[in-house]
Amino acid sequence: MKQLRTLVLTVLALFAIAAFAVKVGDQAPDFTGTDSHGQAHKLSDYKGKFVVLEWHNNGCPFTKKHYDSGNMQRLQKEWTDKGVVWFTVISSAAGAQGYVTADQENAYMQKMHAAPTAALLDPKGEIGHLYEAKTTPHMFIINPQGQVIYNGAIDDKSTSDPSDINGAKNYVSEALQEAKAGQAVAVATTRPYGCSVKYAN
Amino acid sequence: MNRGISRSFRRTIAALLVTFCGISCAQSRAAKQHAKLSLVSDKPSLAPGTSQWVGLRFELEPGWHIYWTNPGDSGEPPKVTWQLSNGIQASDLHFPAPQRIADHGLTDYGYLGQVVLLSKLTVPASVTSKTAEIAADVRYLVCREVCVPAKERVAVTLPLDATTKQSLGNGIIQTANASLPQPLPKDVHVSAVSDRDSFVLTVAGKDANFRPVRDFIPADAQTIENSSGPAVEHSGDTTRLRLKKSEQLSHPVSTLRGLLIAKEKAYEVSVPVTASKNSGAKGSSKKTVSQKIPGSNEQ
Repeated sequence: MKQLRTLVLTVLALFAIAAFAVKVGDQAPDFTGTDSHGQAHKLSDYKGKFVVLEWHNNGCPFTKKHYDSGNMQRLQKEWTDKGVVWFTVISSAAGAQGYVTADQENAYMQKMHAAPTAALLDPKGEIGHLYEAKTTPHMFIINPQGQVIYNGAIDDKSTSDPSDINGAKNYVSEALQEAKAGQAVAVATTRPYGCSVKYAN
Repeated sequence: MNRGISRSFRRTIAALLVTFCGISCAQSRAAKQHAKLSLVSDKPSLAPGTSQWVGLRFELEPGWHIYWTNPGDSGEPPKVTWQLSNGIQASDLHFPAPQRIADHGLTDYGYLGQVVLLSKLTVPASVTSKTAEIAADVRYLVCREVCVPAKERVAVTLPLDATTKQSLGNGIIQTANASLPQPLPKDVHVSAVSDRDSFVLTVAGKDANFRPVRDFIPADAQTIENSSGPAVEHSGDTTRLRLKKSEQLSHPVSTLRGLLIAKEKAYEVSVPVTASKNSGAKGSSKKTVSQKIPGSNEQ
């Protein structure tokens, strides 16, 4: 009987997670993720800091647009230098495009000069589903109080063409600048663009 | 001696070209396995002082797709840059009605199989050349489980000839034209109401060819939840489509633009949105409710 109740509660909890997307203004759902060096990171341990979540798939043309051009690495460097915690999250399932082992991800980051705080390996899609990450890239920003202050695209040019980076309005940088200056984020929710996240079926 | 130098020089140039070609060419080659692109005309020549259609024809490998102007939750539409001689002008691309394509829990709008995107070329009357060069630089993304970007040039040389020419009779342009979205029939009226979570489109009219309305596909991204197909209610000559608002909708929508998908054709609608008087609006009577996503293509 007790087991049944636990089962029912678990199922209800799962439904609750599935039913509510992460909205700007909400408390960011907590998670623990393991990075490509085997280290665990608990989101709530980073309270007091801004945290950026970047969904990533190294084979996706939209991700490549921002990495082959060095745009994503520039953002990672700029904002981690200013004390922001930046997690690259990889939710591709084993066998799907973008799936990487820890060693492969470390080699990729070295080759690309990527500079996130850590790359979280999420092949079961747990963090991805928790945040309902839709595309690569899909960006979230969490403020020092643990609230989501941005959910959406990296910028306003929803193409895979690297020549569109120049002149694009970078929503992540704008949101971080505004929030760090104590202002409200002017554009807090946008449509993420890119490839679908390659979750396990 | 000279010949030797020139040969090695040529080889170096060739090697350099291959290097420059690099990633984008490799990607284009990969894309060509999944999409065959051609530029088609339905007449063997262009007549000065007239307009006529040409088409970008994509023949796609089974399961692969390209995108509509609003790609839905992922992807991006094809883009063309025309290179035209003799002052010829090309119109914007005209896209046929897309279908819903399921993609890892997301919903995209695009095309499987074959699709022709049309453009109308306008030839100045003053043209004196004998031939016209029509070239299109096309950037597109072709996707199945994964996406492959491509950059391709397709070109055709057509004689400029004032005499009336018969159609080539391949039917490609005519078929493409017939699949373009149509203006709403005169006796069909559409209105839109916004309540807390949804837009409700009411379609009223007797046009026999028009019914039944099955679906609505938004022209603007970030308006409705793409993966929630409309709840469709039919009642006499009236159809109501309840469309769940997008979670990313951050501003009021004054005009709802998109395609009504009816029995055989798609119709362009652009309808002003009014706020619901009863924004709770839960008590409306429902006749027949269908939650099925019409035309959804699982892959």
